[in-house]
Amino acid sequence: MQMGKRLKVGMITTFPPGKGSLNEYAYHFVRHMRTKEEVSEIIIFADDLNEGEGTYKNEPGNETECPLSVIPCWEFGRKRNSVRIMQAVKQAQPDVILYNMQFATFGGDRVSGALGLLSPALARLNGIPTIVLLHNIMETVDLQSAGFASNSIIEGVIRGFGNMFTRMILTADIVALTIPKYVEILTEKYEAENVVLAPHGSFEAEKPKPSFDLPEGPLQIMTFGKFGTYKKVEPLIEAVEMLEKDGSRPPLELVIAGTDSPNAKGYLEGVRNKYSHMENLRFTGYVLEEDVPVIFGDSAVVVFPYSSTTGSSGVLHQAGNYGKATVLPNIGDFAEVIMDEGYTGEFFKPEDAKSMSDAIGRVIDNPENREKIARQNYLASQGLPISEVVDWYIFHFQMLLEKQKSGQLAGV
Amino acid sequence: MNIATKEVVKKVITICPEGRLDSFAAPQLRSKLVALIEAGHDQIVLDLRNIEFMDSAGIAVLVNTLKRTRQTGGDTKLVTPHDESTMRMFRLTQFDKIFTMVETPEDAINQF
Repeated sequence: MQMGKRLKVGMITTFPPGKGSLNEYAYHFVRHMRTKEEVSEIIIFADDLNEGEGTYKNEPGNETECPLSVIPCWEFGRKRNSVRIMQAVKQAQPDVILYNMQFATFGGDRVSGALGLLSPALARLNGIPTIVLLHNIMETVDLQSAGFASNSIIEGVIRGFGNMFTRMILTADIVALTIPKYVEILTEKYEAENVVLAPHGSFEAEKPKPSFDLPEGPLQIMTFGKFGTYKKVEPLIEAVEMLEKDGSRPPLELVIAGTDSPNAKGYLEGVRNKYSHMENLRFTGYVLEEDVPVIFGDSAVVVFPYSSTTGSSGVLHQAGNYGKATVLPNIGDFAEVIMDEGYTGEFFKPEDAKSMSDAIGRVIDNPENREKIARQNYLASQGLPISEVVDWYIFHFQMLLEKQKSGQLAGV
Repeated sequence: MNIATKEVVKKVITICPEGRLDSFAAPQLRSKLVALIEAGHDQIVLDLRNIEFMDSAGIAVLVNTLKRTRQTGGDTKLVTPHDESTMRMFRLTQFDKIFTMVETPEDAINQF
């Protein structure tokens, strides 16, 4: 990249130790962006931490990393988020802004969620070159499964508003999407010319090649994420019970790694109570960054008990990084991501415990198949490390700044 | 009167990958390009006319080459692929707006 002015990058996102959705993506993205010589400083405009979540840490720069500071300035579910964010941005004065978000980033209810989505338009109004990395699009989210609509009438109303708010997001200079199909949907439906593909990328490209052998002890069937809306673990628990009833397999352990979705508080506690009779069911709670390799490393298979998807899956990329076989729902855009990025797995019919049980069986009963899937996922995960995806954003930021300089970057 | 004459020779390397440029083939091309750049070649033409398929991992190799060559004052130019699915990747990523893309290797060399 031609070295012009080094960039002071602002990023509106959840961020560890905050536990909001996309915090882990932000962590890895920022970790790599700090090492880029084109970037002079990163300012995270993060959500306020809850009690017990600790505090954000500002990091000074060093020879290989630029300084990082975190300004908490918004809160999930609040209506004034857009205003608060813009006040903080104006004070910090970044050269460019990146939003790391999805439709429900700023709130689980319709009003706060929607008002938060106005934030990129406000940034653009203030003349700051803005890219929105949008991890999902309204057109492919099953609103009822995701917990946003209780019936089809409400879903229709929300979709109407969704179209309006998608148009608001499209007022950003660039909207980056992780899946080719999403780019084509927005380009065609909204005649948008500022939508680009920027794939998810893999988190740990520099990691040594994983072992494809399994540790001693029970075979661990693992699922990882934020559960309770479109990621429900009951069919998975029932699938594991079916596998055990067969009696011919080595001992199994089901590991549910992660927390409730912000839209489904108390969900996992309910599941724990309902299945308290199951001795080989383990809930890890929130998984700290340093424990992630252990959780993945110990598992024989990673299962994705999704009834719909809201975009590319960070967990799929992690499973690839750690050389793990996967069991995946046969859902349209999820399958497309898998094909496009070279991943594979055994597939099941969404929400069908028997189908899921059969798919898990095809992995754990056949070590050759397990290893074949694991190796392909590992190779796929090495194709596009997130470090290179960060370079793509830097190219786009530099292009936006050049346009701004030459007066080609119009305001809203 | 003394007339000084100075001959300037532009050294441009042209690479012509063929077949699929996906997450499985990309590392091979990447290694080749990195070796060339580390050997001091920072003016590179990638002739993509014989590429039959390219995914995001393939685009990543090209972007990485662009970044590396520009860091030392050079550049990377592309000869436009004929394959429609490959062009789709360029359009989706809008890297067709960031790379210089021309019709022939000669045109690309003349751009340096």
